[in-house]
Amino acid sequence: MLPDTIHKLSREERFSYARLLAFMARVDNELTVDEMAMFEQRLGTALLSPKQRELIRQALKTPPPLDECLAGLSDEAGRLALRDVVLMAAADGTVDDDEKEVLSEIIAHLGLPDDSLERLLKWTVEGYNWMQSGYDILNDLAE
Amino acid sequence: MFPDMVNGLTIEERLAHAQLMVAVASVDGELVQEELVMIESLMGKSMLHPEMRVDVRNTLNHPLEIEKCMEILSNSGKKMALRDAVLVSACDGEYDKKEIRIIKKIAEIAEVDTETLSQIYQWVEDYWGVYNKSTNFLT
Repeated sequence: MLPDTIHKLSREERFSYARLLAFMARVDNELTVDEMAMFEQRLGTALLSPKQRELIRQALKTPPPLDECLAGLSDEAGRLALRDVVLMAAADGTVDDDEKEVLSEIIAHLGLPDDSLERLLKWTVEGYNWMQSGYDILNDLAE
Repeated sequence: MFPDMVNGLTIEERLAHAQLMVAVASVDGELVQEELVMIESLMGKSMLHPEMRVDVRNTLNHPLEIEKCMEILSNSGKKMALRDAVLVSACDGEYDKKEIRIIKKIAEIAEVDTETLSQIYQWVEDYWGVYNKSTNFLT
């Protein structure tokens, strides 16, 4: 089975999840191609309707307040969203202080342990290494 | 889920890549939700134009031939397509015989040997391991 479970959340939760991602994408006032690709990939996983996607893309231009994004998330959806906003924040190669501050706010809102961010960042690095190992296999073919 | 270079392919290649994934997902005669999620996710990360995504969705019942998709792809595009074909095939929990056959065909066109293909299968298996670590943390 596909290990991701975003698509199993309710439609409303998937929408809130995507709004939080949109919020995160704009925290540092920059939207890189890598962040946009990650954002679009997660929207795809959420199986949002075309209308919802349109609303989310608007949210990307004018992000809603963080409280509003968090209000529509259950505990499970919140934790999945946290994982993916960490991925989004790291997509451009660095997690800056503004992003860390927002991530800490989300962690506090969800009532998760203080070391959550550190653990998720460690997991993110592991995931990036896994992705790179896939390229290494493909690159070996070219040598 | 993690950063990828598939969005560095040309727009024609990204479309062919997505159409190939549809062909792979539907080869066993059924298209399950997990496969749809994976295809939507791949189209998202390749930043395919929304109208092109509609075109791809329209091929869900009548997928294009593998060879036609593959001939549009560059060498690196073919290899990424092979990698993602294995990912798409794995996401419903098992590899169907037809899926294994189609992956072998893609590998042949991409000129990827059996040993490397095994490494790709292993790499996909590792994905579940990486993912489960986040699930363990989140539950």
